[in-house]
Amino acid sequence: MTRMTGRWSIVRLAVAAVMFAVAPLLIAQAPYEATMGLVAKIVYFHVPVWFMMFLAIFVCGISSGIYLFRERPAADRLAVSAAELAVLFGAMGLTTGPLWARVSWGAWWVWDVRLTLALILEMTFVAYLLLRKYGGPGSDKLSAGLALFGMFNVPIVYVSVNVWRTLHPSTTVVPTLGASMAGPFWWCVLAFLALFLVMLEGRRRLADQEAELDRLRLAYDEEY
Amino acid sequence: MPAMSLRNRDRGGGRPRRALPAALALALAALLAGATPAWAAAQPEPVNEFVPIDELPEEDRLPAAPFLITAYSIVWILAFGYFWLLSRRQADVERDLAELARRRPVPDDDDDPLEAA
Amino acid sequence: MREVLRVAWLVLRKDIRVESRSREVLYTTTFFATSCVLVFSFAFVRSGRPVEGAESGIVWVALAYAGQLALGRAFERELHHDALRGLLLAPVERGAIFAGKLLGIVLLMALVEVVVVFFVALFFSTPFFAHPFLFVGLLAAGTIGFAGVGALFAAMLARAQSRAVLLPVLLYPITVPVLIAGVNGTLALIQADPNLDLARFWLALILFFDAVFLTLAFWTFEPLMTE
Repeated sequence: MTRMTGRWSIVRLAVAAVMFAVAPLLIAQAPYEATMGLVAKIVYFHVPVWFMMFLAIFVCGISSGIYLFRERPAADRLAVSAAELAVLFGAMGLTTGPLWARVSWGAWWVWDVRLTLALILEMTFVAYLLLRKYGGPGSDKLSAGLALFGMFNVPIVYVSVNVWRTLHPSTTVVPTLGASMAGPFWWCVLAFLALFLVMLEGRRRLADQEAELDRLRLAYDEEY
Repeated sequence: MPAMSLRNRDRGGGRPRRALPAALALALAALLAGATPAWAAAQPEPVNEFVPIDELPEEDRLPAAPFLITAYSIVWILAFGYFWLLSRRQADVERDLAELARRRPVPDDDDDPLEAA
Repeated sequence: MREVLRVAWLVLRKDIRVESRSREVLYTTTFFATSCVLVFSFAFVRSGRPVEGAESGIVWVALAYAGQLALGRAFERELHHDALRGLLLAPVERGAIFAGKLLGIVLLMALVEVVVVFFVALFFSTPFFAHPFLFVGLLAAGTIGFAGVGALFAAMLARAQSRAVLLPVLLYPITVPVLIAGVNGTLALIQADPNLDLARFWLALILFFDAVFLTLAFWTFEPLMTE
């Protein structure tokens, strides 16, 4: 167990180092975005974070499906870990988004499609975590069902919010990236992906250990 | 005599201490009530249309740096906060596992847990 | 297939019979929906006139709240004397049981809708039935989608702790597309210059949602209800 932690903290440190190397790189090197100026540099964090949230949702949804239909406990542990990360990265996106919108558009919330979709998905997976915490026994299966539904809901919510939005006078906040900004952008995406994988692995290991602890406690209780 | 005066002092000391949280709560409520109109007035006006930043007049543009720094800081804080939470839970689990191992040796999978040790 | 329909009909008949004895869920849900309409009317009426388009929002939100309440009550009833376990132990396809319960809830919500639409039309003189087929289509499709997801979640939660508050927590984020499409589709129909194409688009979206999520619900009912 100490070996597992030791290995994990080394990887974690490596990732943190990568990220530290990234930030000044993009701040210094990337050109200013023509219409939005300095504030568009939020996009280097905002969009990768959004990618990670999506990734987490699909990992959660798929492993929930596996847990429901194949009844593999490891899939459930992966699903919980992914759900926590979906909420975490969603929170990052939902805080950086309005900060950007406030400067670019003068309003904290502009009903942008992706922001609204992120909000709905965030609520879905916060509901997942609430269900796991307060639902009592059997909430593992129920939350798996919720995650599956949440995953399938993504395109439908996107379309409905998108059409609804076009009835309102607002424009998309996310600009298309110029070529010179693509380099740092994709670097950031990879850095966040590395962060995501480390977090997922760490959280999943924690879930494994907690399951082992429960198993041992039950085994001892049986003996006495 | 000493015992009685101690009791009196005790009783006198108890009342203000109990009243203190209530007084603080009242003061805070009064402060918020008084400050709220000012806070509400300080809110930006609601936007009916969204104006792209290149069309905003110079004096309306907000300085971007504080927002950018806040955004980056939030991402860092959330990421490291999560790591810290994970390590704390990890430490708890490892402590519990060590505790269990100390009380009894870890049972093998092929041991019958119902057998007498 | 016939067996599935037969079992679904039996479950539906049982629910109707139980409900018709006390009519508790029907009356309380209808009254609750009407009070919602009243409260929203106070919220969205300015100097005697409703905020533009508020009527469609009021109808759908009242339905969402009332529907969620009805769902909770309908499955709570199954807890008495372990009736739910009895149902699940029956040697029939689980999907049929789900279908029967779903139909019962849709029927109940349809009755509530009649009352809600009546009152909103009365209070605001809304031309809901200017295009009756599209309007009823939107309501029906929306009710089926909402009830489909809701029945699954309510069944799952029937034996869980904190089920009363967890049902809306789980249900609303998932049924957001139904609400968006329902409100905006109805709005397209009742506005001064009705946009029938837009209303048809929203109806198509709800039907797509229904297809996806009813399939998912039937598919997952079995593993979710297994202990």
